[in-house]
Amino acid sequence: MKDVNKYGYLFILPFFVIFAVFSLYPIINTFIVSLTNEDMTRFDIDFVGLKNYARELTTPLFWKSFANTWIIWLPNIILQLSFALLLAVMLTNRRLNIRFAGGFRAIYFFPSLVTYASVAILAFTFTDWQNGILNQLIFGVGEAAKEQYIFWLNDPDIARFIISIIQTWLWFGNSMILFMAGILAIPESYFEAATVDGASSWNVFRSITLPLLTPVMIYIGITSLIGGMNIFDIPWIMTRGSGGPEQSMMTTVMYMYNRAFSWGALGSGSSVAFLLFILTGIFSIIYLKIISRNSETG
Amino acid sequence: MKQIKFKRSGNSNLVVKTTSYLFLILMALICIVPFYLMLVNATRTNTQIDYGVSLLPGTATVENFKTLFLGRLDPRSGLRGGGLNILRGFLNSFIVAGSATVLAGYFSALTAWGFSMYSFRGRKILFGLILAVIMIPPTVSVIGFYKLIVSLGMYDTWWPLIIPAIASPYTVFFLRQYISSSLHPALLEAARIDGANEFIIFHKLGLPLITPAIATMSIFGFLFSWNNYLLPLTVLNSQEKYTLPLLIQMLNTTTYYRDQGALYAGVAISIVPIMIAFIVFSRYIMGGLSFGAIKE
Repeated sequence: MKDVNKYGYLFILPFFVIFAVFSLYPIINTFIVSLTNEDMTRFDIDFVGLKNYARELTTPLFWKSFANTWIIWLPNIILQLSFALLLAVMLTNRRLNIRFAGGFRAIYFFPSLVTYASVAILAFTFTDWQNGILNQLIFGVGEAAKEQYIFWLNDPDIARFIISIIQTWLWFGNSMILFMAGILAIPESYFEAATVDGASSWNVFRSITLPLLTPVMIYIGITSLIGGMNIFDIPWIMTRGSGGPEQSMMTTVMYMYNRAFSWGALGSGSSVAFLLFILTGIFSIIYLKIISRNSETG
Repeated sequence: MKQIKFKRSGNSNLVVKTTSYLFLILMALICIVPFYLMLVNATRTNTQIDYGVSLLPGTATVENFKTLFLGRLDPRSGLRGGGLNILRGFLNSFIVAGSATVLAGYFSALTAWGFSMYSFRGRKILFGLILAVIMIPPTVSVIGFYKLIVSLGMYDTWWPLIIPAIASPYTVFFLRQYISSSLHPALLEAARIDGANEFIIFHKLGLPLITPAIATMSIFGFLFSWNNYLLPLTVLNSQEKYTLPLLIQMLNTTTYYRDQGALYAGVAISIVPIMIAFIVFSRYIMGGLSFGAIKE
């Protein structure tokens, strides 16, 4: 009976074999490649140290893609958190007592299950300049109306904002469900005590609900930051990999993918992957610092 | 004139309530209408689509699907060319996602069982490793993954999309929570006294008990694999092996760009099964979500 615990190793063995080969090794391998000048078009591979990193850090397009990624993510996370929080408060409010709350929850959540590729094609078609539904709804149809049609995806700012909107549309329901679970976990007595003391709904929200939702905020913020920094599918498909007008929709991962697989520069592509990884790590830590300081003082 | 006066609070409550419902309904429409318009447009001719938005179906359903599968009709020769075999992609995705889900379900249960039922040295560190890797996005390793796949001779096969599912950290994490909260290692003692082998205990006693949780995670695992784009894009080369997202992406080319009815039909084929699955499994999906959320 003493040896029984050793069986634990056998149970977890298959997982860790596959994990080591298909998850850990590729990460290490990517890092090693990032220190070489490996290129699909060349046979000789040399160790070049941090040269790739130095070159990428001085390449304007790298920084442009990184900036684009942020310009797409920031409006997205602000809109997503606002809508999710507002809807979560509405659907959990006792006094409002919303009917069909489960149905609303399910409907808001559904978009996040849909294939990104399909969402990208839909968005591409809806925002099409000549035949898109968006222009038809705003300006109507016919020759006169067509004169006014806007070429949405040809304007750098609008194009990026369209991606932000799509991301928000995809994920606000998911965040809302996490917020709802967080709100429902707050003991009812807190709210009752506040109401007895005559606190307004807004004050209850600000001094009870919001601070107690900090863990949920941290979770959504970090997962969204990581996901947002790694956005690829939708802008890639919408621009067929080109990055769109003035490369405004070129995200960091698209830049990396182009470097590695379109131009064959595996070495520099790998260094971009690790730069993004490091930068995302730094911003995650900054985010955690800010939010934990706020929850201490507030 | 005598009127029943609403109490001030009652009146403003009504306003708040109405505004809330309007807002909730508006947001619901924003979620539903794009899919509805997609379905409607999949049934309309290009001329009809050009003519503006409609909420009523058109007459070109069959024609749109013909264009999608067989390609555009050349009016002079009467021949079609350049279609997309979406059904093949559908089948491919089903095989890939199905196999990955079965592997993920079984091996995650095995791993989670090992972590929660046995106390061996290094258990915490190994589990911590799993948690750490959940946070690392696949983009960090995609180039190394590609090189590994090429050197293993697995390039342009489905293996790289199926085998890694054996190590699904998130499923293990979820199942371990489930096992720890509902079963106790002491449960095994009775079976051990009867002389049962540890693996028989897992298969006869453990697996049936964890099955509900595996089912929930399998829905998410299947969808994750079904929707995956980056990895198939990196490791698949021949079109007859393409998974659905890779074929859907090809709708963004000039043929379908000019033939929106067929384009909408193609997107609809990819989304309708997810809608049906969501309606059928919504109880498990929504339940699984709040379980994960509360546990966090």
